[in-house]
Amino acid sequence: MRGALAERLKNIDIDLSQTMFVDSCGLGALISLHKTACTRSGAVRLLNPTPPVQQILELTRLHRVFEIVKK
Amino acid sequence: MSESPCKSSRGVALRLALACDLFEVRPAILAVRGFLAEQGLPDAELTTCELAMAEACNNAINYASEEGRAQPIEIEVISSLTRVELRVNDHTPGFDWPGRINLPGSDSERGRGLYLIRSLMDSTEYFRCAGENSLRMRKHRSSQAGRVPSPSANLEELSRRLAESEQIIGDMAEELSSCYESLSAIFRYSAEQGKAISLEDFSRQLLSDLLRITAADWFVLRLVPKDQSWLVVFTASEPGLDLEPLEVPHRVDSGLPAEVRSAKQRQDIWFDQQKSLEAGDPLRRVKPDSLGLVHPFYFGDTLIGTLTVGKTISLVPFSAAQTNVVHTFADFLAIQIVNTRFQEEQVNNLLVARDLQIAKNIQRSLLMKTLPQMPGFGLAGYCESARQVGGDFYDVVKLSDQALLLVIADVMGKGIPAAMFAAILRSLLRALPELTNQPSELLSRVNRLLFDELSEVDMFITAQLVYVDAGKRLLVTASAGHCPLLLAVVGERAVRTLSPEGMPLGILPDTPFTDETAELPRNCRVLLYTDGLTEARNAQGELFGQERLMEWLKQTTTHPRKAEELKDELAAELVKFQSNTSLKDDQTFLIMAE
Repeated sequence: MRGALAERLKNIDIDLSQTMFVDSCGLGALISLHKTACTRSGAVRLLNPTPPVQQILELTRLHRVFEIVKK
Repeated sequence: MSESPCKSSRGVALRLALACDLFEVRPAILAVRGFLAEQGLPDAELTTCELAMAEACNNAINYASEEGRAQPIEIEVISSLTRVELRVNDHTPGFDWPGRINLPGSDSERGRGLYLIRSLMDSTEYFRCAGENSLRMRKHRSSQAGRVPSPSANLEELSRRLAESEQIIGDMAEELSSCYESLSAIFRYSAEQGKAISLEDFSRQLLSDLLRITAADWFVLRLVPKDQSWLVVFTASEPGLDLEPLEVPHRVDSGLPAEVRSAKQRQDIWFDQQKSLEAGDPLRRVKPDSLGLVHPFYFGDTLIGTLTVGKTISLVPFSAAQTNVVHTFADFLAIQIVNTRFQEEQVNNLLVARDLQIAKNIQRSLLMKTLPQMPGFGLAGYCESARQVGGDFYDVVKLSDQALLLVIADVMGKGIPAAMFAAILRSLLRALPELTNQPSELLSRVNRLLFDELSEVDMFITAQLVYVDAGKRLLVTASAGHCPLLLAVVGERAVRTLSPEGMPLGILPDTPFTDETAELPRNCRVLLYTDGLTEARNAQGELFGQERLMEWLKQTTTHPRKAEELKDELAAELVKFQSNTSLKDDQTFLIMAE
């Protein structure tokens, strides 16, 4: 996923409104993206996570790392 | 994947075998979910089991050796009336089940699988044997829809579900109310902003409300003062906290206080028992045994400050909803701070502009519109300030029908202080009429009077006084470190320079000045000027210089001219020379012509 990112891309919004399931591999991928964004002074935002995904983010305390945007 | 549901006395079971390949996991997990859904598990529990199962299978496959990959992974799901048991059996070397499972650091990309399993399941066992391992995970069933319970269990179950529903509704209501409260607080404060309330009081009120809404105990708000790189405490919930300013360094080192790290990394920093603050962190002094978060806030790329919100460790950590409220409040506050600073700056600029206008008016009033004249002699003065207010001035004091005192001075420095000293000097010179025909004596007296004030602010003044007696046709001049007086006489090849010795005013308390006397020949021109003239530069960086000035003065003697005309000519000469450059210093001259 990191390889697919354009060089200049730094702020990444991920729409999680249709994502019903995330496991630790998925979380690892999000963190990897986050680290890439940070090295470019950007950030990863998670948009509208569904309740099950939000629950996992809170359980693993990653809601402290990612900005979670609800619209 | 092979599948074999079966029914046993303990409940209903599903058995699956899948190849040791990550791509096999997803369909198997979906089959498990489908099976459990048939058993009437509610969505939340289905998701929990789905995730625990996925983590267990991924783990088994990731730990498999080449040899182990040849053998399948077996899944068993047993659903009874009261609980679900999930088993994953693999033929890999296995791993040591850790005694304590901690959440890895927030930047770690791995290591959350076991943490999730342990957190989601009620009990977990791992059996590691030669050639085969078994992970067994159990979860009590909370909802028993889909089966027919006994009447007594039904009542018990119903009250349990009722309590659960109440809890859920309570949580939702809390989240809704915190959203509502933060919104209404922000509207309220937006309205408050119109009233005369200091930024500090405003922040304190806003953050006190934030504590209430997020069930927090304390806050510390640090701001970076304009053009500085320090985080200074602006307001804090705990009175009497004496937290020193924190420097924001260029580099981020470990061991920096959490507020500085969060500001540098542009990231929230959380602290609690697991991730405690460094020993010397000032936040430790706010309240012992706290948990909380530091949130940095920026305006564009400019760091505005950090907001830290904390509560005692015995309480539950901030939820995502509460964290959002903290962010919303901090962002709102940042906008207010930036606005207030902008307004203050504008007010300051207005005040400074007004001060300057006043000083300029004072200075203009010092320069007389019409100069006193003497029979046969014309006088004209020119003063152009490099800034709104300058330190140059000239003055002409009428002593009698036949005598005048000419003054030209340059106060070192520009702006209001220079203009003030110019005004003082002018008044002093006019206040000592008994000395006007002895310029050197007058300079000594003025130097003694002004020395303390001038040396206190490290300023000095160069000045030249010229006593002109038209009846006797002579002039007496004394100089306090000023440019020479130029005297041009018709028919003479060279322009005379008169520069009697003397230190500038304000350098030494007791310093001698000398008078130099000269005759005033027919049709002569006398020029007093400040160094702004000779040090004027053109676009090529060339100096106007004394030579050029003397040359100009000499050629004026070829034709009779009035002082006013000479002034305009020299002014035009200067403007032409300095075309396309800005004035670096005040330019002042006083010209006398017969």
